[in-house]
Amino acid sequence: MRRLSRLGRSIGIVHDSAIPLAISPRFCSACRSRRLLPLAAATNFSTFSSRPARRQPTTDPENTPFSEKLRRKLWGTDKPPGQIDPYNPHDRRTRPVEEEVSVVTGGAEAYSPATTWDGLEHVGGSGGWWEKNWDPVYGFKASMCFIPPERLASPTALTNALHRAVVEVFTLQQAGKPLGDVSNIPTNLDEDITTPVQITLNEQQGISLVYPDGQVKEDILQYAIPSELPQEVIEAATDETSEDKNIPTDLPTEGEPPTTEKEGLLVAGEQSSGEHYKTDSHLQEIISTWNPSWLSIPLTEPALKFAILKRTTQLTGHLIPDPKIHNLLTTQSLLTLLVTPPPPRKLAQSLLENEELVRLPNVKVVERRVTPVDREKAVGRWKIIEKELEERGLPVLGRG
Amino acid sequence: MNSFLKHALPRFARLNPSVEITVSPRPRKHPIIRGTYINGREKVICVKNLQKEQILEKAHLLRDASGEKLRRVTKPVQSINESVRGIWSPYHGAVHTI
Repeated sequence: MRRLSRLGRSIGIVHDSAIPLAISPRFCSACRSRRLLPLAAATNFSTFSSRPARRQPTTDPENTPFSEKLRRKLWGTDKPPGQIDPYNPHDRRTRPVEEEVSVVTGGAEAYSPATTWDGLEHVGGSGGWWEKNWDPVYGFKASMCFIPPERLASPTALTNALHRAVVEVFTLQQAGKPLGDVSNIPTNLDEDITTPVQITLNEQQGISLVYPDGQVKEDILQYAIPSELPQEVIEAATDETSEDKNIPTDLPTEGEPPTTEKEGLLVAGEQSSGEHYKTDSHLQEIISTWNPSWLSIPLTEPALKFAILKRTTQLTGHLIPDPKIHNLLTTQSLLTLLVTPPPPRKLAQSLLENEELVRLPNVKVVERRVTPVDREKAVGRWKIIEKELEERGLPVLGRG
Repeated sequence: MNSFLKHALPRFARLNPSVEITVSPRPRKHPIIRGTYINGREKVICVKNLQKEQILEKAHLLRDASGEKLRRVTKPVQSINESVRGIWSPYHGAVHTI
């Protein structure tokens, strides 16, 4: 005896209208359809299709369905195209025959998994581009950067660098040379030759440079190798490189002159780069001898201002932000910007710089978070807690 | 909170030398001021988005508190050993003659 009632199929209700009602109307429609429909009729609505068997092309004219007969008559052949049954695995009228993949079974015994990655194929990555181009092992030098990686911090060194930039830029300007060439003067010379130069600012005469001797001016103009070479020099360089393909063509493209003089200067500068800057006390003495009017030089002309800023950045390592450039009206404002230390990045640091707060005996400023361990240490309990935890084999810090 | 620490805290600390003040960061957390009292209790006030004057008010509130839980005070005098007869008053009862 069935204990669970079997639910009727939903499709059976559809057939209810097609069959005359021979059963008492007190039955519901589902029950009526179940009673009226025989099992064979119910299987016609099964989703388990028996269509593949019917759709197989048969040669038996009695078993061939009417539609198939009609198709054959229309096409005039016994095997009309189309009507492929995708669910029939035996229907290969248009299905391409898949080639069987041959399985190599011979090397299975000889296979042994690798324990290291040596000799294995490397997939992905940049192919070591960064290592070849940026690692110091492969020839990258931070000293070759336009902006030196180390920023000058000493106010006297910064003042000296700004003075040097101003002297070099005005020397080039008075000589009628392009101001952009000022960056070609080597920064790592043995001695700063511009320190004895006096800059004076007069309302009538404007800016005038007083050199100790003519050699200083000549040296500055000599070191300021033009970035844009004359056309004859470029043509000569390209001719030489076209004749000899082994020589790299960096001379005309990077704008460096094909002279050995600058190379000699650079080599000499690299050797003595350690004693580039003098001591602060010595520099302070030199700065005190300068005419203070050099700090009121107006920076109103954009080309001049840009050349001084560029040279200052190259000498000091301080990159001047664009929004602040607009407010730089004199060399004094530029020097103030250079000398002013950057604001502290942490609130605790700025509080520790507040002397009034630090001097108070009842205020303590901590730079990091006060942890429970700190609170225990403050009352002298932490040593005991640590000892007891170690005795019991428990983790002292964290959850172990 | 930063403005309070920079500008208002030095004066508050100078005027209240008996209050020990510790300033420490609380990374990724709202700013609070926590009052620790000698009875062992703590009172914590969140000062998120408050101006420095409002934070100073909260600091005064913590400074003036005793550390006890807030309760409605119905009796003007508290005692740990309360007498059934109440407090003696010279103006009530029989006149005391010497």
